[in-house]
Amino acid sequence: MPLKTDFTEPKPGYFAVSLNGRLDTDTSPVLDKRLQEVAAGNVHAVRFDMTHLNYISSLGIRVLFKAFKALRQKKAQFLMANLQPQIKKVLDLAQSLPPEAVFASVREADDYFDAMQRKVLAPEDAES
Amino acid sequence: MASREPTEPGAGNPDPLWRQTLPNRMERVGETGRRLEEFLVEMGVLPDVVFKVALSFEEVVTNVIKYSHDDSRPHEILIETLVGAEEVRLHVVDRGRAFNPLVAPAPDLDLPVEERPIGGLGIHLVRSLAKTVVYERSGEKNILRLSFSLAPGEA
Repeated sequence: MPLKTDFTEPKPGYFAVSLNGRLDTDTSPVLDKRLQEVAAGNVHAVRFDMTHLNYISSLGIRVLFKAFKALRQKKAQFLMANLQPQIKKVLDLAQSLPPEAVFASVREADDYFDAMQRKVLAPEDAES
Repeated sequence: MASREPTEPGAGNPDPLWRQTLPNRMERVGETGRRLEEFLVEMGVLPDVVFKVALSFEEVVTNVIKYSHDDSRPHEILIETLVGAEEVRLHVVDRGRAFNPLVAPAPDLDLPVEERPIGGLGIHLVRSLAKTVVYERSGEKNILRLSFSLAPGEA
């Protein structure tokens, strides 16, 4: 199975994307197109569940990096959770995505986003 | 298994050999890479090492397709993979213009993420993941020879 992607929007502007399979020369262009569409719309964050992503090449990294840049320009968050060791290693070698975008679990990434949203909506409450 | 015939550059080598030619077409890279992975898994190569070889295959071959030829005619790229006792060797041979990917400048990883250009990563990854990478221009051929330790965790 080359790449299966699943996009949902569990909260307005919060996109949950799960990647299953291989992000390579064949499959990266399709994901790229979809992510650019999401980044062009009303978006606060894109959270990737990488549990079942078992392969990534430099083209796949470029697609993620491009999405990261597009989201950051809009002050939207780019979050990744559950990276397999070989994926983590290649992303570390590429040094394209900041370590703070990487979370140990989907739950941790979701909690981080919720905490950031509360801070944005009610800065004083979040600090007290 | 594709072929076990001893052939140059693995001539006389008794190690299991996977030999394949593919046309210089991007749409053929993924499928060939998956077959290469299947061969390595069949040979009992650990997943960590299979990943390194498959990734290096994709990066090197896409580079050859992008830079070796100016015309739009089909050209063949030869791939040979040997599984030895201590390492996997991957040879990529093409008859395009002389092109040594190892002299391409490394990406500037010190630049802030926002300023870093997208691209230039493939060969950096290959050099990081392979134990050795050697380029040779032999007659009209570009030959890139890569080796990967079979021990997990090592380059």
